[in-house]
Amino acid sequence: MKLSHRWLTRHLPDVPEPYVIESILIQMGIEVSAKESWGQDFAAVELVRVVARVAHPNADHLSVVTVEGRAGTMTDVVTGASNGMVGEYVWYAPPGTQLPDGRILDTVNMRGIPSPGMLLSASELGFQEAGGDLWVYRGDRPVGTTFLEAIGGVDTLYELELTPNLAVFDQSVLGIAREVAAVLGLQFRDPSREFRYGTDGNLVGIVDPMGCPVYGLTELRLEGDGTTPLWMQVLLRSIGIRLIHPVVDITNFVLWDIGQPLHAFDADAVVLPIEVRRATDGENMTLLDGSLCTLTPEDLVIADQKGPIALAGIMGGDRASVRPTTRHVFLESAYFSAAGIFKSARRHRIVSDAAQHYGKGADPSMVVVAADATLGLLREVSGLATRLERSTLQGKVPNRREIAFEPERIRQILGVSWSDQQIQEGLGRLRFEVRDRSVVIPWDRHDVMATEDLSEEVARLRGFDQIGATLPSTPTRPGSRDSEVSFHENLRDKWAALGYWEVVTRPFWDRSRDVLGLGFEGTPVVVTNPLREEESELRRDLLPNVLEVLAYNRGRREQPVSIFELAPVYHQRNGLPVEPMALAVAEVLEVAMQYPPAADVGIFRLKGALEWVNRQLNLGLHEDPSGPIPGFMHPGRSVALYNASDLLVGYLGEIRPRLASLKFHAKRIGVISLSPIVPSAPARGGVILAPSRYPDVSRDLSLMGPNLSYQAIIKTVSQSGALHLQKMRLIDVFAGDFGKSVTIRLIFQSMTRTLTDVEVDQEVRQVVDALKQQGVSLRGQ
Amino acid sequence: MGEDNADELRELGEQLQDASTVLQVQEIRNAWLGRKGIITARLKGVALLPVEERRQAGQQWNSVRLAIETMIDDALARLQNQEEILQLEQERLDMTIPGIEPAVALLHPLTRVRRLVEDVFLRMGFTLSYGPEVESEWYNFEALNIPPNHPARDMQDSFFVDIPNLVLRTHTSPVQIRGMQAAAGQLPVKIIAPGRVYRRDDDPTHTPMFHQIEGLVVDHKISLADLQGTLLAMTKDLLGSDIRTRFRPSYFPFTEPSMEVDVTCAACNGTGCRVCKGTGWVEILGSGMVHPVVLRNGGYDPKQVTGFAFGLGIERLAMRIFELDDLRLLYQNDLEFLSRFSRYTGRPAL
Repeated sequence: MKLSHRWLTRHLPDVPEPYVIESILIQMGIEVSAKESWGQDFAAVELVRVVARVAHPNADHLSVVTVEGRAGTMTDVVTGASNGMVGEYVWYAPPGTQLPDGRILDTVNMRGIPSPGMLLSASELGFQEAGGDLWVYRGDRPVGTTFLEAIGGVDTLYELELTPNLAVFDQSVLGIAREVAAVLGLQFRDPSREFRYGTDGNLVGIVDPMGCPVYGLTELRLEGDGTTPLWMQVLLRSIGIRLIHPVVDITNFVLWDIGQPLHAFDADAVVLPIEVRRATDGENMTLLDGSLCTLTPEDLVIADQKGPIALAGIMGGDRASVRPTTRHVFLESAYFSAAGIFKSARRHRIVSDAAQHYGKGADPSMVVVAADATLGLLREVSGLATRLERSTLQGKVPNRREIAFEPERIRQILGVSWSDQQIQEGLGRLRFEVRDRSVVIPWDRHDVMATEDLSEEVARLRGFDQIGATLPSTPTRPGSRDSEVSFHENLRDKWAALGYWEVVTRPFWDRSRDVLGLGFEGTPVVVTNPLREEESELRRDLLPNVLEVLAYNRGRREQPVSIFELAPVYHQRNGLPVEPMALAVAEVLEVAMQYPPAADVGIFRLKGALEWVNRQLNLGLHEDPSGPIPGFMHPGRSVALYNASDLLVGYLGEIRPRLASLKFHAKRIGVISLSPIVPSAPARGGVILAPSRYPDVSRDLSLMGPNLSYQAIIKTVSQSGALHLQKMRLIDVFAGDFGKSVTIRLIFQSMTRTLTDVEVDQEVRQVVDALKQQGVSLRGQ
Repeated sequence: MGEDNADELRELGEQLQDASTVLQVQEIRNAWLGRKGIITARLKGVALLPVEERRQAGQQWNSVRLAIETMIDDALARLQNQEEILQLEQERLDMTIPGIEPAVALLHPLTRVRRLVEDVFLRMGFTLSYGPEVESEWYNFEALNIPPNHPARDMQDSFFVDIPNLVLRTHTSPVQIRGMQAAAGQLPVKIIAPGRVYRRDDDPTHTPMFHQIEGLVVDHKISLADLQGTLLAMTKDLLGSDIRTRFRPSYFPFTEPSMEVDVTCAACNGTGCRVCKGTGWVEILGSGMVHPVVLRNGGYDPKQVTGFAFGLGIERLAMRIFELDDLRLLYQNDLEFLSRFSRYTGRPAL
């Protein structure tokens, strides 16, 4: 909502400075999202007197007008206007002036005569004035007065953000003025003059009193051609309301002034009587904005004998709308129930000022006040005579609600020691009447239902900063993360420590993004109203999101990328969502150019990292190179991953290089995909043994054989029965025209004595014999 | 002997003088003291002398041998020193070349900020609590006093899914209900619930997925003053003790009274700038006293207990801590951007 500081003076003659207003608004919970000054553009426009006027020598319809401005300055301006005769006062905009339509004036050559700036019409200033081309001023201000001075100087405009509860009662200048007066303790009187409706009951019938408790209708005859008073034009324009017609302008003004929407019908287009009723199924109408609206019995309409003429409280219909030529008007002032209006406006997707007010909740007591105010303002329109004819008020203003007055509970909720009287006084300023042990709620405070709401009222009036700060008196025990969460945090720490950057991606996903050809099984959770087509389901696999991040980074620059994410994936099982945690790691396998150069270990860094994490966090994973691997993975450089219960939980390896280059801007990419990720092995512990005091002996063996796998060698060697074999290490893999050779180093050691060469030779032979049985031979033998 | 020995020692001295490598000296040692060396031969010759001369000659040649050994050792030491100096010179590195640092990466700034907040509340005795992201409309709305058609549903544009009555949760507040239900009537309930939440928004200050931390305390006689005290302790802990805090009334369907908290803008220190739209303040969280309807839905009697709740946006706090003005950067995962957070090493908790 836009608020004009100038407009506030209508209700608060001694309105405080703009910055004071702003701090009060914030204290009351009204967010000021922007503040600007308005009217500065009018400072250059000056009141001048026409002192001479001659016909333009080179044009029949132009005149050269000499005007006298500030300090006797004389200026010759060419005009095409038919008025602006000698002695008249008109508005002059010198070169450099920016007009409301955006034009910046200059000195232009008008058929051989230079014309600096322009004499203005009302519409060129963005206002309305009946009669004449130029806006002839008939007031008593002297020559040299600026237009800005004439309209009351610069105004301050606030853009207010109203939360739904405040929108109920603060959506008007009156509402805001009440809040300001309450905080400052100013005397404040609500507008209370009521229009006395006539008794022409046959004009209107309320068929749905729940939807419309009160309905007032007044018949008006307008004569003459008036324009809206300038002061009102100024206020409406400052908050961005377009000027249309005095009757419409005035209803708009009353809406923003006191928060009561009004509607005017072209009475000649209405076939009486009017009914306030539910629409029938399939009934339709054309609205003011030209749109066709198909109604349901949930919509409340204002209908005449031919059908609906307004979607009640939301928007008028086209058939009986007021046009510039309309001189016979039915003026509606009514109270509709908020829930019905809110739902209808929502269903028809209509955002109108009326719906914004009625839909939040209006004040039934304002129906007669608003009617009176409107008629009073119509009388201010010069040139327009208003004759009141028939009128009627149907229905009854409901009683105000009452709730219990519980000052002790208010104190307890807020944690304050304010006295009953202080609380009562605070409530009183906000129009809550305390009677004995109950509180009478003002009509427009539909938001206040219980003592909690009253607590907030007292608190915001006195200021939230006045409450004081305490800590809950409950005994404090330090909290902790549970084991599952600790595990996840630990996992993140480990990968970050290993050099993998944590990334955070959104879980939105779509098959169109599946460059890997994942070919999912099972059912996804589908987002039925995605922001984008490519975000229409929730991911079932984390790796694609992480690879997109890798590709994004590679696309930006040639750089090493090592990233991971630990986040949920989403599946639908038996119609219910499940959200297991997944881990995805991706790394570009290339050696960064650097000095001193780094060793190229390829996929083995990633593999080693997983193996280390696996041991550190008891993941219980084991690898199987012949296990199932997705089709996009390199068949010779991948392993399937199983947990301690032999359940397939993921894979590690390289993406097929051709796919990697094509889609992710890197030739070699190592990845891990794991889900679910939970520790599946028991925590390890046990006695830490002291090292042997005796020397160890190492022997290297170069082995050859068909399909030599290190895993098989380890297995064979460890089962060979070599008693003192302590460790075994791979020290070389070498491929040549003879086949593949693997060199391992065996380390022997005893806890009790120094081993002799003979003993070690004996054990080495045992190992070699065991290997030979598996078809592995020593190289060179 | 006499003269004879002196000549030989002089000759040796000259040989050693000419030697320029350790190898040459070792050859000289072989020539003189080796198995077929000059002195060795002489010593062997002593055995052939008559018995009465043997003793004296033996002593004499032995002392000559010792002298020779000393000369050779000295020469060797001199050359080894020279060679070491040479070698060290050859091995000189450009020690201005930076070292190869271990490739240690960082956690995502959102994780770091989340943990920072969690740690503050863990110290205050809160317990972590969690709930699903695909949440029932009842937990996400109805239980929190947001019935269908409530105007507040306009404030949070939800993502719906193809499972009836479920949505992507629009806030972490459903964990309030789940947390109270899990506590099953016990007091106090004192939880914080971090998590991902979803709203249909995408612009520089809103992303369709973001992170919140919900806080909830339910006990006898919990007040708005307790809420203010707790949040003040938190802001000081998170943002430093010279931060200023402002409490404003606000509106949430699940709290009454409701309160928003602003802190002084980091970019301008409260004087007003582009980041804070000239106000000097930045909003960091929404909070309030738990609405009676919510307490009842969690299984507590609002006549017996009261509570406060708050919801903090982790992204917003991250923007405040790291002085970011575009939220979307946090989700772009540009490594160039992420690596810049390594400068935040001064605060151990981050």
